Amino acid sequence: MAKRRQRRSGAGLVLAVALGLAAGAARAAEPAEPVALAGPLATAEGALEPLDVDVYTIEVAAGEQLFVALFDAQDGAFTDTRLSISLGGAVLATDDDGGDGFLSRVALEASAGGSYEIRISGFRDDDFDGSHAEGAAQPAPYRLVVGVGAPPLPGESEPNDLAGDADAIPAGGLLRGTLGSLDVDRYTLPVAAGDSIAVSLFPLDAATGSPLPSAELGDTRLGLFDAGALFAEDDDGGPGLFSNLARSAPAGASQVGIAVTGYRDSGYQGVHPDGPFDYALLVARFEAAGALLCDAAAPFGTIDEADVAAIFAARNTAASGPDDPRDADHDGTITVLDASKCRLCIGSATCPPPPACGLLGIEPLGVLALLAAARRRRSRRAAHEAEVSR
Amino acid sequence: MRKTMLALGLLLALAPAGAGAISIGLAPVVVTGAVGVAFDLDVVVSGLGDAVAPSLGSYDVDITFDPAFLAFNSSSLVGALGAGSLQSSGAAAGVLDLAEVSLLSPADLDALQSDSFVLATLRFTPIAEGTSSLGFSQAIAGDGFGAPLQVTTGGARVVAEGVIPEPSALLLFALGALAVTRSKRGRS
Repeated sequence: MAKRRQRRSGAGLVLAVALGLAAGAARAAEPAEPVALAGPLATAEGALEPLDVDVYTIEVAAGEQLFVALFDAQDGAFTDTRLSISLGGAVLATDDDGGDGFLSRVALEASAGGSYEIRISGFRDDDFDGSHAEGAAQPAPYRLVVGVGAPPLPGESEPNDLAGDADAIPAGGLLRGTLGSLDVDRYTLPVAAGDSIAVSLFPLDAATGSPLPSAELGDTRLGLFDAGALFAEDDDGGPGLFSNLARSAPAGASQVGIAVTGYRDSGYQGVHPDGPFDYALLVARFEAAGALLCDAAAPFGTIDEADVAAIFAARNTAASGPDDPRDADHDGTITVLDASKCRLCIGSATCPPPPACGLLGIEPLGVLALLAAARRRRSRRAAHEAEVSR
Repeated sequence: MRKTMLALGLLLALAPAGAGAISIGLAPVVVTGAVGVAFDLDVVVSGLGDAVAPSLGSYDVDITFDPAFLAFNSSSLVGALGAGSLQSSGAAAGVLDLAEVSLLSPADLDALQSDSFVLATLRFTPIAEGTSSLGFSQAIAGDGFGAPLQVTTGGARVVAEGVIPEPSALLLFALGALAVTRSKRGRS
């Protein structure tokens, strides 16, 4: 969320300032920038607004490879970004739409060590000075994934064509694979409820292992799987004919499978002639920070009947963790009681635990019952006394 | 007396919500039937408030039966937790799972429910002579707020007496009767 506001002269400034003022009212407090990231795998979330340039830094040693990818924060690809990497004030690389949709990607091999600066701005801001209108209507959120690795990157382990042979994604989130014809490379990543994962492929030089500026030599297809079922895929999200995407993990998923294959292989069976070519796979997990309790199924953001139904369907299974939104009573097991608690939050954007008892531990219904019983007893006594007096 | 009532009322008021015990059982508790003849059992909840809390907002019970003795035919959840409730039922390997979650508000549940009512009706058919029991291996219940209710359970006993006449036996009986009738006509 780090933003640096800079001004430029000219007619565009008036428009940019107007847009900036329009959007500025809702701006949240932002951390001081540049925001220092730490490798080997770093993630950040931010939002672009007119006049804003977000600046991050990360330490990279000479010879290490730096992979930077931007993703839409809402399972889409519509945030229109520009991305630059510089060292000591010298711009080393820039990108506009190298990634999915209008998003940006950059990879390079560091010729010198130092604090590399990553600048994120909006479309048309060629000088990275903030002259753009991205986020004018409302802040345009993005997710940043930065991977740093020393070559050779950890490699895939063939055969990994079948789900049962999938390679675990290393802690650094980076690995190198080689896709040949009739080949499918499969990987797996553990996830928790509400997590999102971001996956990006970058072309590598087969001889040197260095990132290539162009991705026209290979044509990939990328699929995300939950328990063998495909839930998201991408063909040419970028860069070039390479693939990348970011998606929320399905509710209840504990592992997400990642498959890399050739673009013709829609069944992920290896039926394609592409390759061989080398790629770097960059994978990051965005944890569900403060995942909304009970918000267990799409559409996310508001608790609805689909959430209660998903919890009901998962009853008598273990919660995936302390933040599992299906475990409303936090007892480690999903039961009908969780579904019952969550039904009280239908239509709400938040779900605090419903009160188990009244003020100061006194059950209000008990008090009401007591008062009602006393009233009945008084009226019966009055009627009895009236009858006796007669 | 007045002090006693006051003390009871205060005890009720101070008791934590959801602490009340309810019963979930099968009715009738003894079924006498015949092999091949289906019978019904009701799953009944009792011990709730009568149009007041605690009401039943959810339940999940597993009912065990001997599949060598009883064939499970069907279950019918009667919607006692209100219209649109989420329901599930299914039987496998001698365990019948019934679960339901109400979508009504706690106040609406209170207004809807009496202190005792039928949750579901089960249909079984004895497939062997003898006596067998049905019981509960799991019983989870929650009040209108999703707080757990303490549950006691009660099972049922099924006594299947004899085998009803099969078609072949009926045929033999009819042939015998016909033979007797002819014999009498012949003598007359």
